[in-house]
Amino acid sequence: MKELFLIFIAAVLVNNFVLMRFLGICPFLGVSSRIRTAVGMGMAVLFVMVLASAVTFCLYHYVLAPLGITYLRTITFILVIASLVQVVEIVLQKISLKLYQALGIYLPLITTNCAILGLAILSIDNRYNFITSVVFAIGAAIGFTVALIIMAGIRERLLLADIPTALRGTPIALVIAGLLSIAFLGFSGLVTF
Amino acid sequence: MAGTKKDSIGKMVLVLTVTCVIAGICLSFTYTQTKDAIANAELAATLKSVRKVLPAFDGEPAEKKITVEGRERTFYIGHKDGAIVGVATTSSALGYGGTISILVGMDMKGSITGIELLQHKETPGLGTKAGDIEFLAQFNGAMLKDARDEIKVKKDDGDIDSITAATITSRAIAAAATDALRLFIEHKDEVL
Amino acid sequence: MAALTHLTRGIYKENPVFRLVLGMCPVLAVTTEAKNGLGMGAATMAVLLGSNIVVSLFRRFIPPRVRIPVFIVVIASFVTVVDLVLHAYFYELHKVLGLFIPLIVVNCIILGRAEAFASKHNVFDSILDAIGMGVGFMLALLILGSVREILGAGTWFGYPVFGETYEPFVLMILPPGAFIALGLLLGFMNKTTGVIRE
Repeated sequence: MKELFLIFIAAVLVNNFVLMRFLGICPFLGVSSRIRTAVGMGMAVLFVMVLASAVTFCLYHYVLAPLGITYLRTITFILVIASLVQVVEIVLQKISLKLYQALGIYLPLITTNCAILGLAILSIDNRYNFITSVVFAIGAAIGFTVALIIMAGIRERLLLADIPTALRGTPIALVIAGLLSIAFLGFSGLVTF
Repeated sequence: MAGTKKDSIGKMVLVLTVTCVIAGICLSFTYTQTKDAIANAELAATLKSVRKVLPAFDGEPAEKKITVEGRERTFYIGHKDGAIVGVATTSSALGYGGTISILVGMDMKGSITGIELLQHKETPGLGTKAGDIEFLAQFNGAMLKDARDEIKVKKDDGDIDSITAATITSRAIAAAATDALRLFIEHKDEVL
Repeated sequence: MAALTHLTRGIYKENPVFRLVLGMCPVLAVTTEAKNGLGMGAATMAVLLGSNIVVSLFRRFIPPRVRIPVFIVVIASFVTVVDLVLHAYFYELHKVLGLFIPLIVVNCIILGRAEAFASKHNVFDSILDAIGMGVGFMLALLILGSVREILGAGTWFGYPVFGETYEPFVLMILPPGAFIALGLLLGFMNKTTGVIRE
């Protein structure tokens, strides 16, 4: 139980997927300009990540490994993720049309969100069992969402600031991400005995 | 135009299936071609490390796997002129940034002949100094008096000088070294 | 000549990293050393070349509605091949690049070029486009990797640059350094080329 909790905290803070592991940068830069869309994106990612980790775990351990075709991992995982994202799109259209429209192009782009594929591969490489993989996924998604929300909060305020033209947009966003990353570096060493 | 939509779905499925089948064939071909080279590369990397931590031995080291507390531990045994000169095994401990894994070589008396840092996530410039020869050389000759003894850093009344500002990393290496030595003492009979 | 534009466009005018801002994850992650950046660039270019060629060759046979899944299967296959080849013959590089080799499959550059270019142009032009984009990507990785390695470790491709007395700016090889270095580089590019890319 303690180990699960530590893995969860590590995924959210210590090894934050965006700010430490560099996974999920494209949506991080693209969707973090407004807090509301950031939260929506985070929820969508959480849903896809948890489902993806469950499905890819079963796929790897019950199909690929026994058949000795683990080298097909990349292809099968990405196809699973692409399908899950399609499902999320359809479900979201029915549940909340407003959110669906707000997320726009970024929803199908979750497929190319390296965070999801990265999560699936990391779970396998770290030899997590099923429960641990799911907890890891939840932690990773929450970490992603936290980073996104903080970024969105800052960028909303940044609209009022006087930034040099050359730095406007992506450059300043990256520098801010760097500062956030320094802050999160402070969490390292949190999970030791 | 009535027939086109129906044709379209059939065509979509066909194209997708054909693509997957061709992909599968190409990949399994590549896999069989590279399988041996991959195994060799992995083996070569392991042997390189084993050679670094053990005294000179003939040919390839033998492998002996034992199961301890549900985990499989592998010992690499080096022979020279028919006699065993040393054994090496991997061990790990929790460091500052994650698990540190090392390869510990020891002679038949159970004293360390060499340590090689295999994997770690320590802070560059600080914890990564754990890979420095000066730091690791301190462990050479260290041994446990019995299975309850430990290798410790000077801060904990031991003999090892920790790396400045990287005490946790240093402690982890000492702990991992202790684990390897202890494993050998407790399971010497199974290994040799 | 139109062909030449296809080749050079990816290197400067539409550099995937500095202009199109695509493929960020590997750019930030593997550029702790110039050598790693170069290796990653080469691996990505290999996949880009393969996928552009295949997509362009079969572009008339791929129904529009399934094109994305088909592209993904093609790209993922090339990524797997590159992964296996690196594991077998370039063991050290494979170990260093680690997770980011399979992640080439979600590198938006590759899917982006397949969709925007290869599916609409002939094979020769697609090859040029792949080389251009690949070189552009490699250049960006090389530049960022060099900046981070020189400042963060005092070496370039492993060779010491400043001598013994240099106190490395370790932050550069840690994650924050990647973000800040790339952000400032992008800002610098914007300023010097006068083209603002947000």
